[in-house]
Amino acid sequence: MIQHSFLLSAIFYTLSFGGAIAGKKHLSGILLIAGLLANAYSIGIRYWLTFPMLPLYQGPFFLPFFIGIFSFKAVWNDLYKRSNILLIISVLTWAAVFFPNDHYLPFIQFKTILSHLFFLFGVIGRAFFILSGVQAYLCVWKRKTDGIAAYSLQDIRRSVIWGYLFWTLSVFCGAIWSYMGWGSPVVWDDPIIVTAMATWLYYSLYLHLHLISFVNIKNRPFFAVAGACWVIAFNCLPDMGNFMLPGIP
Amino acid sequence: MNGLKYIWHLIGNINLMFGLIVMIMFDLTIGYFMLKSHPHLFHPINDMGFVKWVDTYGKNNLYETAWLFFLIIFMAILSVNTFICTTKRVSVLFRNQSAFNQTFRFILKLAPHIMHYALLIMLLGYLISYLSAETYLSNILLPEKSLRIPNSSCEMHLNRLHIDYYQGERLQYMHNRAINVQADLTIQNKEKTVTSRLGFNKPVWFFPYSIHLKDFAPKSKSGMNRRAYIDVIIKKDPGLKYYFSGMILFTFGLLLYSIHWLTQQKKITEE
Repeated sequence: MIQHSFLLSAIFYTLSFGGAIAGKKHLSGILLIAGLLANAYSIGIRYWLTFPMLPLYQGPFFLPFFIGIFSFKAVWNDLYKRSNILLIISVLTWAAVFFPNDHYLPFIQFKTILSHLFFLFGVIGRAFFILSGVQAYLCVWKRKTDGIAAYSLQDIRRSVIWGYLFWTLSVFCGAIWSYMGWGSPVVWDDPIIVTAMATWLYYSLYLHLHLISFVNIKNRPFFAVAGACWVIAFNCLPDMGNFMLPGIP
Repeated sequence: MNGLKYIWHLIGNINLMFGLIVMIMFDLTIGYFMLKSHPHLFHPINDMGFVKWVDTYGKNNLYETAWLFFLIIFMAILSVNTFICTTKRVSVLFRNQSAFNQTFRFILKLAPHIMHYALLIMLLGYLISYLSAETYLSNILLPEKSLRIPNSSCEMHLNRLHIDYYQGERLQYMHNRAINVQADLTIQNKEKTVTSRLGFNKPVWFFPYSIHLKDFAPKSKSGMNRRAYIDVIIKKDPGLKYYFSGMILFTFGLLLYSIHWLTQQKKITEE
């Protein structure tokens, strides 16, 4: 059921994207809701089959759902925004379908609220950072083509602030969990630790851009796009595995 | 005096922060690939402490570990830069405190600076921790047996070990495997005696030590009947209170900042 429901969500998201491209607003909207529901069901089952332990390395299955939820209001009202955000959601969903991480047995150290907060806040943070990148791309691109920006700098900054808040909370929960479980706030044999730190520093820098003299206000969206690319490359891809066809009986 | 002022302004320049973070990002990217390809070189930092690690693994594998030394240098400069930059802005803010008619508004304006100072407290905590923390690994305790904490007069006694095995149907891979481990410990020295329950993610505190459960046996009900034991990590970390205080303070500042920014934007949009 896990595989079926997630594959179904991928199909719904892609069809919804197709509907948005074709200008079928209502059909695309219904398919988007269906995709989110199938995705939520898949997430629920994943948690049901592992709780109280953590479904670690399954972030790629959670990510499209959170991007969809956080952009839902804007996407619902505007077909242009919908098609662009649905494109990234569809790509991320299919990537999760075909590049799943290795299956592993969770261990008892995962049985704490801190590990769940670390994981969930981390995925939510990533979702906001990727969303800010898409918003920034639309802000620049739409302005170039139509002269009116689809998203304002405030929209991008809002997503970055939410992302930064959740990412920071995730890092702190991870540090406390690591201390409680292993007696050290940083476990130095996991490369993801340095990329998490780099992401945190990058978005700290983003929040300071308005103070930096040589960064033009028009250039700020490019930093959000670059940040989203970084997050996908170094915070999302390491959670994925090798190419594999979904094992559906 | 003018020279000092010049250096103060130069190091506290916000544009320097931009350059430093870009360099740290580049350095951390190298670190990511080094950690991925040579995790065995970095794992001992947790066990032996940073100073001993530098003397052994660090010095002898410079090509793979140089990024970590650069990271420390960059972070040190960034800390000084953050301190100067924040202090300059805070002093201006306090000078204009009378311009704020509400104390809460003044505190909201202070939020980003609270975050900056909290970051410095956290970094100080990590510095203290990596320079002076003590870690004792592989401390095996058998039921009804005692163990002395190394280099101290403290003694630990395992009174009882209780393991729950999963019997449900939902988590198939966990069937008959341990799901909960509780070890009742008594720790004592000349001054005090503490009896407490140790578990995974539930360390026992006996100032200045914390005791963490690392491993145990038997892990499953079926299979070979192994002798019951627990393996604990004993940690003495003087930096702990600093980096956790820094985290709490940073979270407080971040929440204030987020509330301030998001409500301010809502107002602007409504207007």
